[in-house]
Amino acid sequence: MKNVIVVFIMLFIVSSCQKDDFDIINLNNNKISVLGHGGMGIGHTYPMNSFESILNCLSLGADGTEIDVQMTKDSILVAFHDNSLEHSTDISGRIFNATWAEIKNATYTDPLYTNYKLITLDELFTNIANLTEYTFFLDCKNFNPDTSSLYLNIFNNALIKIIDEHNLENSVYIEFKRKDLIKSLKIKRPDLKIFVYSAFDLALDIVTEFQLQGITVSVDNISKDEVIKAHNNGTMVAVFNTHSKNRNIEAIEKNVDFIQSDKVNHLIKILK
Amino acid sequence: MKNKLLPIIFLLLIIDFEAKSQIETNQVGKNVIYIEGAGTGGYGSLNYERVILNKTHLWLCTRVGLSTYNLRDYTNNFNPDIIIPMAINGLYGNNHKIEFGIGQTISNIVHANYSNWQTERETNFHANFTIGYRYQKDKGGVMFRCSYTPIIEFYNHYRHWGGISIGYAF
Repeated sequence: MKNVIVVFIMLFIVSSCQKDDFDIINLNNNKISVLGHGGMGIGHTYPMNSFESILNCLSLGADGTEIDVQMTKDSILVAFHDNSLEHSTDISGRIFNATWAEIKNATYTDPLYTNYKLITLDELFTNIANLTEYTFFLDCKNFNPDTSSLYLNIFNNALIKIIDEHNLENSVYIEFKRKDLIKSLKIKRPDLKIFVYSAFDLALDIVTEFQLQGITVSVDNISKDEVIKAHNNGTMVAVFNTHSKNRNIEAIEKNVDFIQSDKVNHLIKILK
Repeated sequence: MKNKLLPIIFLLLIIDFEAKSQIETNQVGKNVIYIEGAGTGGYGSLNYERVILNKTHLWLCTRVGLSTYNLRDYTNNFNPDIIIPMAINGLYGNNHKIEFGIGQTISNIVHANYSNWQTERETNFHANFTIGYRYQKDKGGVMFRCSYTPIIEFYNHYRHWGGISIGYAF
């Protein structure tokens, strides 16, 4: 009886250590890149897009991370998600209306008793060891309503500058929602990899129109058949909103190319 | 004769006081161990409380707790955040008590030094307050409390907060 129990315990330990087997067929060399969502994702004790959150995600073994990008009035690119600063920091206003000097001391208000700060993309990339080994999705949050060609130029020049300065041409994917920004960047730098973030059918049209690399959609807004359709079109698929273990598995089973997960630890455990 | 009586009276008084204290000690569960969800420890804490003053329906207690956010820092090294909520609480009532308290939370959190970008540990102090309801029998047993626990973070920013606790008094 004792031996039987030991065997069962051993079997349990072995099975719990095993990596799950998934039959992955996609455009990313038949592997799914494990990315964080703003680092460790929504709901983690490190605020999304903070230096600590992004470094934590990379140090755990993720392939990279998605980072939300906004530009200040003085053309500095900042890692920040929300439309307004008061939602998650101790200051108010909007990033595009402020200079970096005006917001650099902003502190995230959650969690309690902490004082994690805002960071610029340049500070972030300068302080990541082996930077070019990672994949970064730069989710451009253009809340600035300005659609003038001057603004498009300034924003895309700031992006190009940061990518070139850190030799990230091969490891960065730029996510845009706005067609005017896609068009402007395509003219300036056709070699950069661009994803469009939109509803599936519209996104696929934009990909075809501008010869983009891929689409970014919420995992619950795309089916397995639609992923196959995108792949048949030569379009890669990145998904987000995987804020549970089940959603991670759902995304894997859809054979997407990149998962921007809020449960990074779990995704690393089952895929790497 | 008077000189001989005085030590005897003093001795009798001490015996009487000790006897009363013994009765009170036997009647009251002076120690409480409890876990608190949210509350002055942040997202949750393990706490010890000791009754230091006991009048019929009014108790005075000291509380100290321990909490953390991450045991490993953002570089994945063992380097835990430490949060220590402390307070002096008053309790009024029989089994159903009103609780009110004031205290301080000490946080010792690991974050990046935003100049040299290395990990750095920083200690800060915060005021905490408690007002709420507690179920606890005098003799001990299961304890439950539900409180409004506002915090003045860094002695600078007022934040509404609350907590629910369950524990055991003995």
